[in-house]
Amino acid sequence: MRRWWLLVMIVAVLGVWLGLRPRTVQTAQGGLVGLPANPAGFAQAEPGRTFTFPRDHGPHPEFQTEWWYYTGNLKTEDGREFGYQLTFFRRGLAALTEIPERASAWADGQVYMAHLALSDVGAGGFSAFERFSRGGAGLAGAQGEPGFAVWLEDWRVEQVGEGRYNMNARAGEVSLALTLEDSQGPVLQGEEGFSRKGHGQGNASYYISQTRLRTAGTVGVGGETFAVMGESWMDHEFSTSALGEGQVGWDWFALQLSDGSELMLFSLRHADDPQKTVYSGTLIRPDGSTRVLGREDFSLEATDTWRSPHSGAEYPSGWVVRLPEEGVELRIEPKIADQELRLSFVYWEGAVRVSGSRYGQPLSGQGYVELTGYASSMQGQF
Amino acid sequence: MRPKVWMPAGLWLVGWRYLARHRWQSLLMVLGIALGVAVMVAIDLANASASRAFELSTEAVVGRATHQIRGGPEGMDEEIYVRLRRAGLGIPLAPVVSETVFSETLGNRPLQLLGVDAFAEAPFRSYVSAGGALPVESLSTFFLQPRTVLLLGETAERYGLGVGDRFRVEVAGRQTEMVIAGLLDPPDALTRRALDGVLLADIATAQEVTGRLGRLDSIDLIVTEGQTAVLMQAAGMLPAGTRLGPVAERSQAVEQMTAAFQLNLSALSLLALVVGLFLIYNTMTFSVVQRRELFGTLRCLGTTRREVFWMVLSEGVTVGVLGAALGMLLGVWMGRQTVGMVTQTINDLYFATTVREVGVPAASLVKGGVVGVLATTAAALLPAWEAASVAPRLALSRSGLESKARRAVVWTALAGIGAMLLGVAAFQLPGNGILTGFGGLTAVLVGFALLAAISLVGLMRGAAPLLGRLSGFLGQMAPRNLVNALSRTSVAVAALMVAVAVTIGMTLMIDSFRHTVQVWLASTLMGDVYVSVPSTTGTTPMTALDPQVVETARSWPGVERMYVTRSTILDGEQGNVHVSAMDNPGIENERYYQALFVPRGQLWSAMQAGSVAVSEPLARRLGLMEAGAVLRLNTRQGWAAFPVAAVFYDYASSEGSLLMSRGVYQRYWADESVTALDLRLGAGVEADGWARELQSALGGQQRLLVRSNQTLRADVLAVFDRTFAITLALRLLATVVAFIGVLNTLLLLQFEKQREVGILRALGLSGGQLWKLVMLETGLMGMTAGLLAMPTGYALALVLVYVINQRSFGWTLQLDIRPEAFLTAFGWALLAALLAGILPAYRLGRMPAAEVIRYE
Amino acid sequence: MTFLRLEGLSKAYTEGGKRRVVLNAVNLSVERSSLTAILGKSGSGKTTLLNLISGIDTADSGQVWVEGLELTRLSDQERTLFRREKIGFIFQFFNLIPTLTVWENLTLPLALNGRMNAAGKARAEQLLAEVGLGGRQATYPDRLSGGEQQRVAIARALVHDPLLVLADEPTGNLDEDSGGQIMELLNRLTRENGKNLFLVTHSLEAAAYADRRLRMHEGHLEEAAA
Repeated sequence: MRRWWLLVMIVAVLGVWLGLRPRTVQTAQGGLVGLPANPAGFAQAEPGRTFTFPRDHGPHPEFQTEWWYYTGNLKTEDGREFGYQLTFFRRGLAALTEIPERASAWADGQVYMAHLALSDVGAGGFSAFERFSRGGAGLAGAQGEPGFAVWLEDWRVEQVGEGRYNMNARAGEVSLALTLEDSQGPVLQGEEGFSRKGHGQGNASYYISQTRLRTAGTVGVGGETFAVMGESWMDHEFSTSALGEGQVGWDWFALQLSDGSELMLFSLRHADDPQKTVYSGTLIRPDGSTRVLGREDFSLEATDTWRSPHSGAEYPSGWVVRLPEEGVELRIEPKIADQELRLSFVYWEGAVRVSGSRYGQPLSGQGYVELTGYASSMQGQF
Repeated sequence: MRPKVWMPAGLWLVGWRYLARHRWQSLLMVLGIALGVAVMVAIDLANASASRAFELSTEAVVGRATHQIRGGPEGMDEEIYVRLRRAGLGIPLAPVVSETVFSETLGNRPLQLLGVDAFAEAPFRSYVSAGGALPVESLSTFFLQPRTVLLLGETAERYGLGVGDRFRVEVAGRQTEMVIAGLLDPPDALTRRALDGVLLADIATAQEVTGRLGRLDSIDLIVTEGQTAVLMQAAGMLPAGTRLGPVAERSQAVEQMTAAFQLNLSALSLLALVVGLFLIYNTMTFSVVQRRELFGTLRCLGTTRREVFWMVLSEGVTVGVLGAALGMLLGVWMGRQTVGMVTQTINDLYFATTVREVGVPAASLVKGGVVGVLATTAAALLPAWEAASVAPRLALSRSGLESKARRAVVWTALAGIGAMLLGVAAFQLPGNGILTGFGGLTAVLVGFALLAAISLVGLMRGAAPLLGRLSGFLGQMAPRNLVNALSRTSVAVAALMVAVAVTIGMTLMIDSFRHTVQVWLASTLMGDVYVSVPSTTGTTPMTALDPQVVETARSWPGVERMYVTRSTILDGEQGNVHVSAMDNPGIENERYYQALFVPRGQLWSAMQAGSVAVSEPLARRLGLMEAGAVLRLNTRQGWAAFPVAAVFYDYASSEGSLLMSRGVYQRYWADESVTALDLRLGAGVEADGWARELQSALGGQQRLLVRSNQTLRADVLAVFDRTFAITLALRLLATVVAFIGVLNTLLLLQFEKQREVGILRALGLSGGQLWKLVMLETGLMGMTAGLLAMPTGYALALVLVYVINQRSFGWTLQLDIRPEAFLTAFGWALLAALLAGILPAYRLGRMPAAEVIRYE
Repeated sequence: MTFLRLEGLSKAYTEGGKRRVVLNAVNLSVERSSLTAILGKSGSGKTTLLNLISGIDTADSGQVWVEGLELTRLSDQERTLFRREKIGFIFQFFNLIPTLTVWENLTLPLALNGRMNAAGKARAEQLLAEVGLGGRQATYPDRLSGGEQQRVAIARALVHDPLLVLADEPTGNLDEDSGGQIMELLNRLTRENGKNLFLVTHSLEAAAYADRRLRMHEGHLEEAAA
């Protein structure tokens, strides 16, 4: 559920174009005016789509926007913890029908952006990187068949076997070389993969997750390499629709719990009317069955805040989540306070620790949280 | 009694008043220096502009890249770039497809079609990401739509184009239509200039337009110091035939090529200044001699030597400053006229610059101004010293100075011979430097100039009896007058002689050059008709012909034989090498060879076996003059060694070129393209008409140059003449300065003799006789200068042909001496001198005798 | 009080390989505020004597003392500066600088001495008026008659208030009337200003103005009859 990236991505592409590399959306606001936001010719997400894998892990250029989102919590044998994020975004510059036939392999009409971040929990370190590329000529792209792959230059996730993926990325002193294994198969979020994001028609996306990927490999940071094990989460979404009005940002949670279940929650915050906040989520039971969660099914309460010394933004930093019908109460805390990414777009995305109970039985877990729209510069942008 | 370092205000006034009262002399001095400085500034401006244009043209393409990966003649596979990108080297990389194209719509000039990937550009070419005002629509149009380009806003405006407009571009002889996707509006002037000649395209568009699908011309890299490991890693990933090297490597090579040309121009531009210095020296000396009494009085009144020295020097400096200031203004104006010529020549000979407008580099102005003032000051030193050494006597004889001058004649002559020997010695110095060449040239020239006095004395002694018989007492008087004023007349003669000698030398050199080129063309151009794609530079065309054109031409009625040539630039161990791969087995008979390292008649078979023939400039540049020399080239199979089988004379380029058999070339570079056709027609076919026919038949496929042997020859010679146009202009200017010098000297001489002339007039000398006397004197000076200029000019020609040209460009020229050059130059010297006599004669003749006598 | 003293002053020239003694151990003492005339034939060494007194030329032997300063021991530069400050010159051929106006010629010694101040200018004005050329400041020398030129020269010789005025045949280039006027003027101005005047002449009329007359003869200086 990160269709907000659609905007971010336009901003970022423009950023490249203008050489401004905007640190905040505000600087690029002027550039947003007159964007070819007209999704004419692009397909719209509608309920009732049938998914086929691995093909549907691959790209859907008939939709304007698409992303593959990997996050995970990893640990060395002696208990040193890491969190990582590797995200690929695709945006079509025009609908396929609008793209002329071109002889050159460099002109496929797609733009890719990727983010890489590593949280070094033990050392309290955090670093994040960003890349752009055109699609085409093999520089960046994605495929579903014969095996899934998504890449931007040397940042790459690639299927190497049934439910097995290799992930490689390196930037600065940070590197990832991981193998991810999906033993439960893809999870279709929302209504069989159709995820509503607002009230408007077409305000929705297709949303597929792999909520528990067993992960092993190495993490490099500060010139050292660590052998790590842990679990990752993958989200893959594609859509075309424009944004709902008045929405300032969102809080998104992907939690892997010790009882074998996973929980995905998000809230889309409205600028001036808390009543218009959209709440949604999915509970994935250990047996793979899912329960769609609506506004009335859970409560989300921030218990602490953290002010970024870099951007000045104040983020919630600690939550209590209650699912009364499931008897679940969870406390969520960032593993490190400062996991703010200051790239073309400023947001917080970080590894979290979960503790709590289910019907009185202790429950623990970990996951990733994404917070957008808190950087002061974003106020009133949406 | 405190000694003063500077001089009191009153003295400054004395000097200033002197200049003001002698307006003519002062004006001519200022003009002489101004012209000298102007020529220097103009050439420097033109050179700097040409260099800057090249830099900007290069910068437009290269940007901030430090290194470049370049492929063979066909560029390189784009996969190389993708592989490098996906290797995660951690350094900025950017792919480039670029081509020099031509657009009639955009000012009929070469333009750089630059294909880039905007996503990779940010660290490289500032302007790509500087299009701040670019509307976003342009962005997707630019990426998505074929044949779209971005243009500098001003450029588009100049030709009345706007976003969405179409315009025609000629790429490799083929017309194609481009669409303006957007206009660039970079904030800084430098970038604007660099972009004026650039069509910025998406890399996909550039590939499509140039037909180079799947290929890149280069990959730019930014590698900071200490990233050698990354560089090694990248180099390790490259296939054979590609090369990773510093960006500067290429532009430096080009700059070295043009450096010789520009140095030659600079040296030539100094000539006018040098002649101007003679003028200053002469006039200042004159003014000092004239004022010996004044200096004596001043010394009596208590003016110190130092004050007198400063007074005279400050006059010189005043003239220098005024002249330099005027010269700078004049230089900028002249520079604007010259820059086109210089750039044209550089375009003809070396590379196509796409940048037209460059600012006036302040350095050129400052350089010209400073050199002008310093040189004038230096020229005034001796006269100032002379003035300071005037003793504080009440009555002085001028004859003292003249007798001193006559005594010095022999010593001056000896010094002259010494200078010449020094010059000849300089040529023997190891290293074959261009600068030592010019140093030697200057020494020889100065040596001859120092012979002016002794020549004048000698000639006048000889001429006096003869003239006496011819023209009576006036005939005897004129030469004596000249000898009596030797200290001044000899300098004027020297100045005129230098200017005329340079004219002779340059003329002989250019004549020899032209003659050599003609002979060379006759031996080289054996075909009847030549076909190629028009090139943006005057150099060898390197654009591939449409294969269909080749086939059509081959089967065209009238063709008896056809040879094809592929000209391109290959990557050699010592830099880029121009190569022509051809299939003409008769090549051994169609060139003149300086050296043949294989037995006669075996050249072609040696070439088929992998040997190459190199041109003289290339052989000189790369040291391939001896048997057994080997040239290493980067082939698609890696580095390969090519033995040099022959060195041939070639005047097409100073970079030099290499001949290779086409079979060998195809074996190593797998390149089938053809850039030129050499057609041999059957007997009785009229080449010109036949060429026109073929031209119209082929015209639809590709824009082509179909030229008969005659036409091609004429075209080559036209480029040759264009190259030397600026040289001719320069030597003309030097002559003008020399003329001013002679005029000034004569004016001064006549002014000094007013009293004497007045007496003569009082004694009954008629106006006609007066004219005759003046004209005799000036004519004798011109004659002396002209006579001395002949051997001097000949010596200069020898030096220019055998030292300067060979060292600068690597060409051996056949000296072609034509007596016209000497006679014309002599005529000019005489004419200049006689013309210079008109004004003084007129002024003297108009002056009433009484007035003239009283004047003193 | 002795103002100028010559002791054993000798000078010889070599001409065409022949040595010619011009001054032969000349001794002389001159009192302050006096007008001394040196008479003698052409080539008798009168001008040489002036050159030695003004420091333009150097003696072969002997000494020149002016106001207690031994001139013969000074360097060329020092002698030039001495001349600039202490000596006023009047030449036979006037030697005005043709490119300077009357005023500029007149004030040249002031400029050379760095005394081009109000007082200096006032003095120059006054002198110019006294030589009868007031109002001719802007005229160039070639517009003046010989007598006028010489009057400018006289004013120039006095303008910087020198100790000693040296006049070399001041009337030699003038007609009788003009010569007389010049001598009148010279006499009056030097006496009024309390200057010492050293006059070289072969004109007895001119010499008549002098307090003391000497004659150069064969390298010696002798008192001449009035």
